Amino acid sequence: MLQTLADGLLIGGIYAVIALGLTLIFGVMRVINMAHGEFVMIGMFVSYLLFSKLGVDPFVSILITVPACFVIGFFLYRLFVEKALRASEENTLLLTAGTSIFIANLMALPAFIGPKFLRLSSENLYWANKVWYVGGISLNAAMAAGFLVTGVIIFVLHLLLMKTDTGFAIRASAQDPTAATIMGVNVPFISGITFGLGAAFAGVAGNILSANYPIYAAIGTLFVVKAFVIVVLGGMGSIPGAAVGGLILGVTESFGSAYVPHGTGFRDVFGLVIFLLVLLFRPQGLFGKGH
Amino acid sequence: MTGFLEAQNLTKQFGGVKAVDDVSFSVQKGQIMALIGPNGAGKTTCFNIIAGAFDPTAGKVAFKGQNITGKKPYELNHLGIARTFQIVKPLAKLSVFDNLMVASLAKSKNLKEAQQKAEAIMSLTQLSSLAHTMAGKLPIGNLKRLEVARALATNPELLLMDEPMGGLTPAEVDQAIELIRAIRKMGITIVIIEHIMKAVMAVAEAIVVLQNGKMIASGDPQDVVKNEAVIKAYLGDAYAAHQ
Amino acid sequence: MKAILTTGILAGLLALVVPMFADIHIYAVVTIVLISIMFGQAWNLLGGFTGQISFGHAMFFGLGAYVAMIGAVRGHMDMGLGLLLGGLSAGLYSIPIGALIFRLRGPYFALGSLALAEIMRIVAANWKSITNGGEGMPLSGVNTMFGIPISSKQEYFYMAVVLAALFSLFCSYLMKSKTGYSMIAIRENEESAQAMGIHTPRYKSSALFISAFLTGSAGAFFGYYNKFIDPDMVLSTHISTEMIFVTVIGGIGTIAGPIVGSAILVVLQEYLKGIPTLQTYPSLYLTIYGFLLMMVILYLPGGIVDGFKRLYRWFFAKTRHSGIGKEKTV
Repeated sequence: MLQTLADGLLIGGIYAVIALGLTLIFGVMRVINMAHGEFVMIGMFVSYLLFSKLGVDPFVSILITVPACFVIGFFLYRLFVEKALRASEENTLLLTAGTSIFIANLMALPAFIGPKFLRLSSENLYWANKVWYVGGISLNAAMAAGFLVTGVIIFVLHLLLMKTDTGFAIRASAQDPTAATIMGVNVPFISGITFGLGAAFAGVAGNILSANYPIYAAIGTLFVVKAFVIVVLGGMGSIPGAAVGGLILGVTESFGSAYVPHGTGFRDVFGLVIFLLVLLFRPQGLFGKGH
Repeated sequence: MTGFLEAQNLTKQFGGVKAVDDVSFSVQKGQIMALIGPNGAGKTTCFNIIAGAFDPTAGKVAFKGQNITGKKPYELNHLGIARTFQIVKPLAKLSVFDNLMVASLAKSKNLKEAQQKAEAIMSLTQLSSLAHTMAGKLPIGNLKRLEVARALATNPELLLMDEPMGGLTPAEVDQAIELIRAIRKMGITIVIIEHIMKAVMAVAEAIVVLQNGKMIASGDPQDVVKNEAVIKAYLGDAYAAHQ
Repeated sequence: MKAILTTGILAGLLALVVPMFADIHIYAVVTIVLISIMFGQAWNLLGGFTGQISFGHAMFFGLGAYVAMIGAVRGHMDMGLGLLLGGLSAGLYSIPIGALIFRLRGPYFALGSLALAEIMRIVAANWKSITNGGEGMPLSGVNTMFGIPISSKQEYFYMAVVLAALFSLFCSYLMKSKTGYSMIAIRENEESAQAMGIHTPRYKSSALFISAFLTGSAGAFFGYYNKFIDPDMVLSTHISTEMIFVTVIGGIGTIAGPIVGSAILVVLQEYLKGIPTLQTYPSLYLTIYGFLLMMVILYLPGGIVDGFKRLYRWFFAKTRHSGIGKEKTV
């Protein structure tokens, strides 16, 4: 039972960092980034590419994924999303949906991931089948390391938001873009930075996941739905909400698969059911403001 | 004394702020009443409570003797209350005519009847020449008239107007005053929030003054204007001391 | 009257011309176009006219399909009844669904609908006793429509023409009624609509019901036509996004939109599939769709239909060189 909890927390941490990116983007720009899952997929692909061609460990290639996703995210926002936002929220939604489909299917071309799936081959992979034992519980090494990385990221994000000028600008833009502009914040630029950051977080999750999971071009949809469930559960725009929500989702899936009969087939449904319950009983989420 | 529209002890609290604090007033049928006061006095909040946009923290609203507190805007519209918004809310991608069709269909089941009503209202508000223009492309003067037209097309007995003259040129203000008088002749009771005192004095038969959510004066326009508390509210203590 | 005439002529032309040169393959493509028109019009009612963008309409399509297929396989149900029942099930299902997701606004509504559709897909894939799970449900034997046996591709084609025409006409008339005006008002400004006496919750539910009903019927027809359904065919996000593509790229909020969008996109997809050098890129058409959607949203939000309108106006204005004065800009 403790094992199930541990497994749940580990995957929950990864979910949390993906959701963190989404909630950050939402908090500042009120944009639901339908293409968010694709950044996870891009992270997985970068990891695969660097591992298979240059033997770089997936955790090391995070250093490449972060700037790559950041840049793609930044320009995606500035060139496309910003323009759609000026029209309407619905337009932005459709735009990011189109972007999601575009990127996912572009990556499905043989030049990239191709129509099937890729895996990091277990020979030469440090993380292959590696397990750490802590007090009688076995932890998947990559996931555990990923959990630690996630913790570091959340801490760094906290520092960034609270202690740096950029972070201050981000928080100001989130609270009131007009007031922030008057106070000298370049809101469009900051929004781009935030979008890039959100994308980068998703990419990091991709790197971590690539150590264990198969990589296929369409995997993005799975993650964006989970991330959305977490964001709704935790409260739109709430960072602690994303963190806690991620852990809750991870643990629920873990226990659900283990203890509910035929649970494994329904693994992905648990999150969706949580989503429905939140909608019914507390639509603002755990950390969101009440109506 | 039971009026056509009765607000009793209305209070609205947002967190720690009392936007409206124990406000009561009564409007007679066929009357034009003005709700005035400095910015932030709680006038639009009062309107929003009466129009069903939100519920009061305390107090109640009665219309034609019936308690309407907490009813939704569409329910109120069916009972005969229409409102205009301070920041106009036209149906931007529809033509002026279609905007009025939507409003007319509130009371008419029949398309033909609604069309006739829409045309009549356009004529009354001098929007006929713009019938097929997209609402989103109109300048503010026409948008304000469209706002009133849409409210009128729903056959109201009570019309709540929230700063209908904001942003209008002096000539447009005069036209608006004429329109308000014409609406009154149709037998419609009007409650109007307005800052432009010239217009208020030209149309109001009764005035209620709010400041910081509280009612500080009410009654005959001539008396209210000379009321010391009212002068203080608008122009400050120094000016009042001069009088 | 004009709508009936236009639709009648188009449908009539289609029904006459296509059989002159069609083979099984062409009938298949055209029938898919017609099915796309059906679910495009259905989605458009909620998304384009009422302004509620749903990403989960596959749940209605799939529900209609499964109800019809189960009826046909287990009860030898007539297609006429099946289309009705498929639509009705989806419509009734939409009532509790609406109560749930209309609590969400805009983008959250969209993702909520996606989540609900995914739940249905996973349930269908696992509830083997009813749906046969991932193996799908095949339909053998000949179906009847009001007693008339329908078996050849050509016969299904005629059925599809009639259905697509009926759907389009229905939507056209609906949008000119009080219900239609109310739906559009809700899309443009919900608060304003409420102040004008429109009972917005009721109208949103009605729009959803009608949209779901039509989608369910389209799903039922797809099942009969394809003679096979499985969760990935009728309940996946692919179906939901296809509805969005044909409507938005074609022209959201117009009756012509889904028609133009379906024709162009489905034909494009078939064309791409036919090019030998592109065989190794089966998802290329989706890459193009995604890109087109982005471009339409950014530069031509009214879709291809709007593109045609602008071309027409530009051309018309050019030939109207009067030189008397500037064209009235309002």
